[in-house]
Amino acid sequence: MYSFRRRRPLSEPAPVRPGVPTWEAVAREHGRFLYSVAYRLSGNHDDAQDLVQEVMMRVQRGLATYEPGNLEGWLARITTNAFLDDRRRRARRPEAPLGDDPDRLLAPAPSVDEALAATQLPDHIQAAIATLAPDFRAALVLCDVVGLPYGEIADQLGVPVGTVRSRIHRARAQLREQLG
Amino acid sequence: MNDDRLTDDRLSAWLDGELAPAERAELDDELARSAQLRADIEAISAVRGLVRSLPPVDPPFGFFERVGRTAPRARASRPSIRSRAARRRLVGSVVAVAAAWLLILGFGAGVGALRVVPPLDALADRHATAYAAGDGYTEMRMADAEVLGPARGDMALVAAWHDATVVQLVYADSGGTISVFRQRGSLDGDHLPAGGAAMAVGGMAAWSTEMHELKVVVVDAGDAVYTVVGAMANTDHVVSMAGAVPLVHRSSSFWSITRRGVDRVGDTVGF
Repeated sequence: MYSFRRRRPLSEPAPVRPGVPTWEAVAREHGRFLYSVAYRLSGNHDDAQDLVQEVMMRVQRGLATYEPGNLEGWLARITTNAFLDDRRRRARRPEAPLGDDPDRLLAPAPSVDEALAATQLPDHIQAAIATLAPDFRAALVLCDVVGLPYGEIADQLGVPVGTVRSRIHRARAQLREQLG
Repeated sequence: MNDDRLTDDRLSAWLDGELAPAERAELDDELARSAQLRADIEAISAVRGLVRSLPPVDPPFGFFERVGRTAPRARASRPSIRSRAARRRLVGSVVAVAAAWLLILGFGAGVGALRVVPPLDALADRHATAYAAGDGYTEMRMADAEVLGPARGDMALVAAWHDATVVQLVYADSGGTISVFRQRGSLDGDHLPAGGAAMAVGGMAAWSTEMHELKVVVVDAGDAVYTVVGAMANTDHVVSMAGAVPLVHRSSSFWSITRRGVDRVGDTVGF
């Protein structure tokens, strides 16, 4: 018997899949988590904002194929990969020397958000984290900020579990050295 | 503290619960025997605790809204906008915007442009009471009026009035008074009354006549029509003023057409 129920044309995209959040839901419900991870990785608000912007673009593309599961683990993977991509890019194309322009030598005045954040955050710990090599920093943040197990960190970074263990420990040892 | 003592990555793995049972048992034995090793693991544990105690960091107020606005290409493909109704609304909006642009450009290019025939009798009557409000005319700011009037002339601007469609600029000297009426639009030469004659003033097409002891010159100044009215005795001044009205060149650039179109649409819908 013929059904009058409308059939979805092939040209029409599939509806939102159950369990897959929208871009807006990710921003609304996981924005603070994302920003925290980005800030711990990048070490300052300007870079954190650039990083989150890049991450949200990748999230938008990735939601089409995202399989419902550990959403924050997935977001942390994207954030870490974007961070490491950026650091590798910077390493290939180091920024030009700034010269003696006094405006550049003077540190810019902190924004209201940064000033507020400075009153809330233990700056010396964040500053010490920012001195770690990017690979060490990524492993440490995934372990101690995101709370992922070594196996998952290894999967995210594409390195053996032994390498993750070594990087996390060396990162902590270097922090211990710096923090006294 | 000696850095060398902190190279044993089993310490972090022990703290994180990531050691295999055999390895953990082995390290437990070593810890039981070595005070130094216990001090080392306490040092690493302290650092681990510090990092783990770092509070979440809030993004700046409105940050994600700004990200959403600055990533239109990514947002455009978000699933929620893919619904049939949303796409229909999107198409409707695009069509409406395109239609508005076509209307503006069409008006700007001259399609549907306002064609004006000055109401000569009414303007002549208005000239007779040039120094008072009335007949629907109200006073306007002189600064606004000055830019609309002739660029040069022997007479001074002494009053300015306007009604819904006409601006009246009143010029005077010891010899008399001249009214310069301005209407938006282009001159509809086909419907001017009989008895006048075509002429040219200041490089602009014009038409002149005499009525009620008055000299009247009508000038097509591009986007505006000027009607200059004065006593017959002041004919030279009337013609001189008519030749000095500001000509609005009809530029064919996109933005000129657009600007004209916006003005004309505004005239048409009454604002």
